[in-house]
Formats: sequence, C-alpha cells, structure tokens
Amino acid sequence: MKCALCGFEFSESEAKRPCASCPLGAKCDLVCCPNCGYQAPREPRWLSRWRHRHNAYDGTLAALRPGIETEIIAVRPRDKRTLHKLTALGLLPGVRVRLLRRFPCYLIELGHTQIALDRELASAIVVRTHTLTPSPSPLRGRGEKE
Amino acid sequence: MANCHGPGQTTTQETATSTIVLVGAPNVGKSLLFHRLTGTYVTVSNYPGTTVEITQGRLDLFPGSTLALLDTPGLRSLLPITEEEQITKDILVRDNVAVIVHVADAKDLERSLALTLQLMELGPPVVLVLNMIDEAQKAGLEIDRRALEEKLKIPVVLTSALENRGIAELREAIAQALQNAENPRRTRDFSLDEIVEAHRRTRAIASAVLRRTQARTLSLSERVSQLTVHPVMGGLLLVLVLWGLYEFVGVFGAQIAVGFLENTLFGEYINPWVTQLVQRLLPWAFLQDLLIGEYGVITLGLRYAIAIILPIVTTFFFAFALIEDSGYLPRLAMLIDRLFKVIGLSGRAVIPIVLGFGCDTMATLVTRTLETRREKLIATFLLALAIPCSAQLGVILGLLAGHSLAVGIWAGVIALNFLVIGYLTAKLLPGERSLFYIEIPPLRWPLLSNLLVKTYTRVHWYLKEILPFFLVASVAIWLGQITGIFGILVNALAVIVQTIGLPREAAVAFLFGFFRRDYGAAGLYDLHNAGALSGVSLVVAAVTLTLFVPCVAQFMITAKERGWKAAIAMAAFIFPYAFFVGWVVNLVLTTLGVRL
Repeated sequence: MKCALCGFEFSESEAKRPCASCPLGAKCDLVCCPNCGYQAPREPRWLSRWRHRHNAYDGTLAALRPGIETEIIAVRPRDKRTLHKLTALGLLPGVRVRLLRRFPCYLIELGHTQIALDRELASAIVVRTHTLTPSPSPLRGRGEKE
Repeated sequence: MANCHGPGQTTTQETATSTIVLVGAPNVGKSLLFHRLTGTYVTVSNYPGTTVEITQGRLDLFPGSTLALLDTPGLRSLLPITEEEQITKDILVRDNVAVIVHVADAKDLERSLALTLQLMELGPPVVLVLNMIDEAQKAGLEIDRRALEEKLKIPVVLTSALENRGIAELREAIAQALQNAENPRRTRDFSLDEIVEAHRRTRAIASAVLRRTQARTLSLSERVSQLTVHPVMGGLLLVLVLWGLYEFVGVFGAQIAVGFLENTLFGEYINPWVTQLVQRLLPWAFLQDLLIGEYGVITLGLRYAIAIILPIVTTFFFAFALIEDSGYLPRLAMLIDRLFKVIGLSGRAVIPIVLGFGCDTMATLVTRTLETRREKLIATFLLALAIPCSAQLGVILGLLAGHSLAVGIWAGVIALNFLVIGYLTAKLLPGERSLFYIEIPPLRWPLLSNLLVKTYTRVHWYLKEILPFFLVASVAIWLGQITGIFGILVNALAVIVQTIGLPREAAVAFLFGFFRRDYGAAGLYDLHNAGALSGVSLVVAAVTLTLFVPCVAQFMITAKERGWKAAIAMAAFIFPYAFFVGWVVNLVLTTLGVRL
C-alpha cells in the first residue's frame, strides 16, 4: 500500500514490524508507514487490486495504453493450450501489434486483422516499449531487430 | 490415431473417391468458394466456427471426373486446439486426399502463409488461394503473385468468391495440381517449434511479395466498426439491434404474419374446408377427432406448425443470417465477454445463446464450438432453462402484448434466473475458466441472395425436423385422450398448476410443453383467447413455461451432446425449479397486489 502522508510504497508485512512492541499488537487494525511512522487504516483489498492493475507496469499488452503500436518480444502463457492458441492466432515474438482498446475487451490489430482478447491472454503477451529495453529472454530464440 | 494410415492402403478405393479439401482459417470465405466451385449451397458466415459439419460436394473439373470437394471447419495451424480443428486435421491426413486447397485472406498474408507452409509438408499437392482480393485491393495492398509462386513453388490463385472472380483459374490450378506427383506423406505430428519457425519464414516471404500502394486510411466501415466495439456506443447499438430484432420477429413475424396465416388462411379457408371434407368422407367420430378435433392432426398439428411456428422461425432465421453475415456477432461476443465471465462462460458463448432465441435445439448443437467441457455444460444448461426459442418467444410476446408491465416482469424474472443460476452453476462446476479470444472480421454488407438461401436452408431443416414431430404429437395426444392416460396426467399436473395460482385448464398447456416448448405456449394462447387467464396468472404461466423442461428434441440433443446423466440431471432440476419460480412470482405479485 501507499502511505497517505509521505507517499512511500510498502507492503503490509513491513508495516507490521514496528508494531511488535505495542500492546495492541495483532488486534490493532492500523498500519504504520515504515518511512515516516504515520498510522493509517489498512488499505481495502479492492483498492490495492486496482492500484496493482493500473500502476504496476509488467511489460505486457494488458498494461499498455491504447493507440500504441509495438512489437511482441515474448509470450508467456499459463499453459500449453494457451500457447497453442496464441501461436495459431499469429501472436508470436517479432510480430508488430497495435492496441486499439482495453475495455470491454482488449482489441489489438495486427496487419489488417483485429483480434479481441480477454485480460488473461493479453497479460500473457510481453511487448517492447520505448521506455523499456527488451527483455533478454524471449520465448523462442531471438527478439528480431527491425 | 489418424497417423496410423500407412501409405500402402488400397489404391482402388483411393482413386475412386479422390477428394479435394478446402482448408483455411475461419472466416476467409471458404464456404462461399465451395459454393462457387460446386454450385451446392452450404452455410456461409462471418462467425468463426459455424461450419461445424463437414460439407461435401461434387467437383466436375473435366468430363468423367469423379472428385469430391470437402469444406472443412476453420483451421489455423496443424497443431489443433479445438475439436473442430482436430476433425479438419484428421481429414487432411486421410489417404484419399488428392489436392489440398488452402484458402487464405489476401489481406492477411503475413499470418496465413504459415499454414500454407505446414500444409505443404503433409504430402499432397497444395494450391494456395488468396481470397477476398477485392478487399485487399481496396485496402491498398498489392500482392506479387508470381514472386509468391516462385518462393513457395506451388500454384497461387487470386480470387474473390463474393464477386465471382478467379474461379475459372482456380479450377484450372486444381486440375493441374492433380497431375503433379505427390510428395511422401508425413506421419509425424508438428511440434510447436516447427509452427513458430513457419511463422518466422512467413514474415520474410510476405514482406518480399507484399506492397502497400497507399497509406492506411480509415474507411467508413472501419469507422462504424470502431463504434460497434465502443463500450457506450456499442451498448446503444446493441439495444438498437435488439429492438430491430423484436420489431421484425416479435411484431412483424409473431403478430402480423401469424395473425394473417392463422385467422385468415387457416381460420377462414383451410379449417372449414377440411372440416367439411372430413365430415363428409369419414363418418366415424373418433377418426374425425384425429384429424379435425380439438387436438387434431390438421386443426392443431399442422396449424401450429404452419401458421404459428413457420412465420416466427423464418423471420428469426432471416434476422440471424443478417446479423451473422454482417460480422456483428464477434463484436457482440467481445462486448459481452466480461458479463459472461461472471456466469462461467466466455464471450464466444453469445453465439449459441443468441441462436437459442431461434431454436434451442440448434443452439445446443452449436455449443460444440465452445472450448471447455465446463463451458459447454453451462451453456447447454442455460439454454434448457432460461432461453425461450423463437416460436415460444413469439407466442409469449403475443400473449403478453399490450401489457408492457407484464412483458417487463416476465423478461426481468427470466433474465434474473439466467444470471443467478448461471452464476451459481459456475460456482458449483469445477474446471478452469475459459479464455476468450476472437477475430473481429471487417463489417460487410450481407448479400441478399446469401441471406435468402441461408434462411431457406435453415427453415427447411427446421421444418423437416419439426413437422413430423407436430403430427406425431397430435396423434400421441389423440391416443392419450382416447385411452384416458392424458386425463390422468392432466389431473396430476393440475394439482401442481393450481398451487402456483393457475386455472386447471393450464395443465393441458404444460403437458403439451413436454412435446414442444412452443406447443405448450401455443396452448396457453388458446386459453388466453378463451379469457381463462387473468393478468397475473398470465405472467406466472409465461414465466413457468419459459423455464419449464426443454422440448423432446432439445432433450435428445442435450443427451447426445452432453450425455444422458447430464441431460437427466438438468431436467430433474428444471422441472421442480420452474414451478418453484412460478410459485414465487405468483406469491410476490399477489402479495404486492399488482394488477396487470
């Protein structure tokens, strides 16, 4: 979570440490910022999930902003079936795609075709962005240079 | 499995039934091309996966040739994922395959060639067809056909099945390919690495033969396409589409056309004429009853089938063909995916669900295109429970016509049941969540001739399937009445029917519901005309009948597709549940003092 006072980001286990000496101990519902000591109620689950979804950039298609054209550098699906699916759709390292929209579904364009994907498939596709250097471990062999 | 066919099988059989197989990704116009080549019609559509069954036709290339042409379900790579892709792959490795015709979207060369490269390794000669060349040219793409032929070393034909261009060249190319020597058959399965490698080679080839003559501009259809997938505009458009569907099927089909056929055609001409004729020819009362009695084969069976079911089904199938051919269905799937994830389905399931509003039996067959067994089960179950078919829908809407509040309550209760039961089923059923991906084809103007032929094929299929059933049901009811079994069943049902606040006579409608859903609803219609139902009990009856057990045909198909255990379990749940919901609705409406 994020400290409301100083903006420091920390995890809950870190925040619990200074409370060890406090008599309220585990029963206390407040968490303490390890940076400035400010006490605040625990962040609700939905908020942290939302924050994770919108802030944590993990280099996948799912986190890309619409309108950006980029190149797929790796595919990391949850299982073999998913990998087959992505392969069959032509979503492979080296292919250039453009994200058209994120809601209600991820809509991407490659060449002259448009493909809709759900979040799970979109987050299995790692893409190159200008701010990030390409990951050195694409799925197969090379991340092709243009 | 299919790989165990050795090359040494009987050659006589091989030459006798030499087949040419059309393969390609979904939605590249295979079916229309098939139609152009053979002259036999098959379903042509924009929706990936509608060509579930394999269609076979005869291809007359030269006098005396006996060649079969097979149209196959969409295939993207020789590493099959779905059942349909597996079927296609099995066909491709059969011994009697003489030529493989790979149909690809000319606009999508970069991705399609990968499959060509894989097909070329199978053994039989391959012909590459770049279809929809008209669309590619409009998009400013130029393909160097000769360069591509040289690179691949196979014949390449540019066609536009829609505009009937390049078909003669394709015939010639197939005839030429038949003379070519076959490469040795491949028996090994493809590995993922090989597929990825094929895609890599594809990109190199495509960049060498493709030329972009103009910068990419957004065409009008692309602009409209953007609107259809916009969360807000798309939603509004969906409402508009549904409203249009209701006006066409619910008002025009179910009220105007049904009214004309039933009251004018049957009421004034056929029924009196047949009645007179039968009374003159057959003096025996019980035989008269069979033909023209209250539940007679002609007065009930034929009248229901022709006057009530036919117009509704025809208008629905026409509207569905329109939605299908314009390419709207995949967009709908995309819009609704998030909502459907809640009930354990993916956006893909809109196809069977929407089709269910036409005919649940047909829709149950189409659940085959869904990916996981879990998704298939949920979709089948929801079709059996909460999706009224067009015939039933038409009759129910006709029944509730004029009471907008009644229609609202009915639709609300059914929608709530769909979502709640879907959600609970998804929670209960084990299995992984299904992933959703779908290609969004360009929006196209449907061809009127295609729509008509498609509607005709489906209505033809439908009538062939149901007409005998209506007649058999009439005979069964007649037998039931004569022997008294019918009376006992009606009495048993009447007890249940009365507890949910309906008149005794409604039991007859429910008994009909066993035979066909719409049959039951139509029975209700007669009851309503006789003035036996009040506003509230009309809604209760409509809700109960909608949820009530699927018709026999749907039940049989459910058993065939999902197994007897699943089918019986579904029926066992739905039967008491429908009455329970009816009881609750009745209780709530009467307690609140709602007057309809």
